[in-house]
Amino acid sequence: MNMPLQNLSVRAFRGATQLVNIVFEDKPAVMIFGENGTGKSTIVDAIDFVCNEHAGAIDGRQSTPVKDYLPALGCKSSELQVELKWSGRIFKAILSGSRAYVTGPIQRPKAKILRRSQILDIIDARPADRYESFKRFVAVPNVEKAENALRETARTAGSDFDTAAQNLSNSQHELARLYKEDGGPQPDLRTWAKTKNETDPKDLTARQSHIDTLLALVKATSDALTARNKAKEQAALDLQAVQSLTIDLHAAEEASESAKSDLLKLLDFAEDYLTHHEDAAECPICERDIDRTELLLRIASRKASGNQVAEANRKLDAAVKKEEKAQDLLENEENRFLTASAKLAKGFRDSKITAVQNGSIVRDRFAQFAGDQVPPRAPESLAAAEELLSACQGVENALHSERQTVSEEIETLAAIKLQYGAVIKNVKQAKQLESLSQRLSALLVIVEKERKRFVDDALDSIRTRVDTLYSKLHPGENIGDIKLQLDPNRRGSLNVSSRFESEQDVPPQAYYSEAHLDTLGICIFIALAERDSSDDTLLVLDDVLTSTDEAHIQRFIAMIHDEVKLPVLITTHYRPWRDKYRYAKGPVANIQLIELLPWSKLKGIRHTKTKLEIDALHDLLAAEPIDRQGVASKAGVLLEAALREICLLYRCKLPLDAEGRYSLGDYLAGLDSKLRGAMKCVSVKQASAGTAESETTTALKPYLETIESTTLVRNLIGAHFNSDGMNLVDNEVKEFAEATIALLDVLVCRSCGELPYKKQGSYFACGCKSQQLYPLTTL
Amino acid sequence: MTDTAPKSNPSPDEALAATITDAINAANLVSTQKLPRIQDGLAKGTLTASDWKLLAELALPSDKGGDLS
Repeated sequence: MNMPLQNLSVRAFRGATQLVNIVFEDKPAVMIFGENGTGKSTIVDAIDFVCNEHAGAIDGRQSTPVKDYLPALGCKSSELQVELKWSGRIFKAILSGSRAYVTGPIQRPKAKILRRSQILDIIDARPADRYESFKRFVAVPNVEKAENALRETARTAGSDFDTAAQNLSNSQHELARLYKEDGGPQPDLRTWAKTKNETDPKDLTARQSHIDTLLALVKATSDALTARNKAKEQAALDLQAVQSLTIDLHAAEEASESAKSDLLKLLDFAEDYLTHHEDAAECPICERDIDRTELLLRIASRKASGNQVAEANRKLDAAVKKEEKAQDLLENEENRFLTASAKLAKGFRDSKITAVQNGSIVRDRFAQFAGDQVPPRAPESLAAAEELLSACQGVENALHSERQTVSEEIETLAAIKLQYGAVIKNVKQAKQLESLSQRLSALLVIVEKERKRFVDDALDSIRTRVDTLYSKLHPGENIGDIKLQLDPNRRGSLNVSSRFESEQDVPPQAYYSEAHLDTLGICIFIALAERDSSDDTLLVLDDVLTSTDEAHIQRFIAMIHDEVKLPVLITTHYRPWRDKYRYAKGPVANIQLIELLPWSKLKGIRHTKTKLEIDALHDLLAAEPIDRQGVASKAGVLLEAALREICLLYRCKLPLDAEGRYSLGDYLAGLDSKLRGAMKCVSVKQASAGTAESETTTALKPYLETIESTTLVRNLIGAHFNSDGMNLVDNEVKEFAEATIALLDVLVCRSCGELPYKKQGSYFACGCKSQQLYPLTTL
Repeated sequence: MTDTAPKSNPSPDEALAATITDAINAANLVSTQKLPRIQDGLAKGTLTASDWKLLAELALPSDKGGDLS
């Protein structure tokens, strides 16, 4: 694994009052060590700013507005800039308002940052808040929305199917009822219904139509007869009126001899003249004087006696004309009656209707209506027609009854067809809805099952990862077995449980120590960060470890290097952690060590490369003249650190010291001659292009014996003021240091820079397993 | 605020949508032509009740006709 973070340049940001530029080496991890107040958090916040657009620790705090407090002391917000080089790509972030504005390539690196203050929040949070941290991995709101829609349509389809099944049952029941009413003919209902459905109702409707025709003919003929009788009656009445008015005329004529029409006309003219000549004083004919008014009265009197004859004449004329019309109407009505009778005769003559066939109509009785011709208008024809009508009216009730029967047959057949069709339709619909309902239910089963499995798998995957990491930190301690479970009774609620001693499924915050909760929180964070990572993800652990015992810090180092799958940037103020690497108790070849120097406003954040103790010894040896005390002291400390580790590995017998202080002599005495004889280091060189894997075996005994012969240098020069030390020459001091370096060269892995410490088969191995220390146990 | 969006892994919705679509395909419950629509609709939550119904109906075998039973 490489470190994609190549360079970080911070200007006018938080504690960076001066430009800070950090170049990162291509190692999977980097540790920035610094005491409190040296700028560790500024560096982490700068990474957060450019990668995540967060303002770091002050983000969201009302008391420290980002715009005012993100710029470094004495700097303007416009000066603020963070530049990060990541796998050859450069990203720049400036402050825009109170937010980060980042420019750079599309694919931005992500920093997963865990700060000390967040660790307990992960464990101690309410289940709902904890779920917020996990939900990006387990929450599937869109799928749940679609699943709810599927559930709704599956339920609706099921309901529709139930309705269709009920409709089918109803139509089947109704069809069965009709079958029963029809007498339940053989062989079965299905055959009967199918046959009925295929029956053409046109014969029945034709029969019904024919009966309707016959009945209409009877009615039309009857109506014609009624009209004829009415016309006949009217004609008789009109004839009587003519006769009566003739008598009245003769009587009026006899009563007025002067009732001549010429005189009446003369009187009319005279009256008209006098009426229009109001000034007439003499008769226009005889020229005698006249009294116009008196003469008009006399003319009116004379005309009155002649009007009776005229009125009688007028009435007679009108009566004659009316009688003539009545005769014409009678003729028409009689012809209409005879025509209707002819049609009636033809209709009944050709009819096959039972009521007609069985009726009392004897065709031979109506010779006048034998053919299609209408008989001539004659009394005998009219009489025959009346007799024909009467005969037909005699079967009218039978015709109505037969029509009723036929109509019922038609209705029953229509009902059978309707129900048969309904059954067919409902069967088809029910089958379709059943298939649809089953398919939707099957889809719902899949979606539900896969969703539950997805969530369970996601949680299980995180849980497994957390457990793996946690067991690396706390092997053999009766804690662990972490479980993550969604609360089935609460939406968006996640419970954490674990084992404590013999108790399973207990909340860790109830029983675990603060240090154990810290490491659990770290493991959960790392598991989540890994799950949400890509090729461009950096894990940042910001001062997450405080005081912890040596064994745990050693395991933490192993976990970081052996288990974590992301490049890691660590900041810490915890010196023992840093010094583990300095004394080769961690894979120092796989981590870049950076050290922050004391901060001041004037100088800002300053950093330097952390020097390994062995490198410091090399530097001391290279100086001229050599620092005798420095060389002896540095070599002595390094030697003590290495021998202590070996004695711990082999559980060597050392004199008990209440404060754990041991001298070089104590450690060397603990490595007895038997063990020294068996001790050897095997360095495995991995195969590379053109070269096979090779091993170099080196016995340790000669190195230890050389060391043992020179340890006096450390006591005389490197530890105390001693006048005897002045007698030792520089070369003796150098020999002690070189012997120390030679021993460490044999012991420490050339690949990872770590002393062997892990039991592996029949030897102890370093982290990368290239260095093997034999034997595995004290002989 | 940014000028470009960082690339990210598939969301849980997207990952689960792909898994469900595979399972539906394996069960042969929906036309293969409609699987992309299902996957997209699951991932985005845009599949409605009527969408599901239509997808299921389209996958049903055509009926040749009816009988009394």
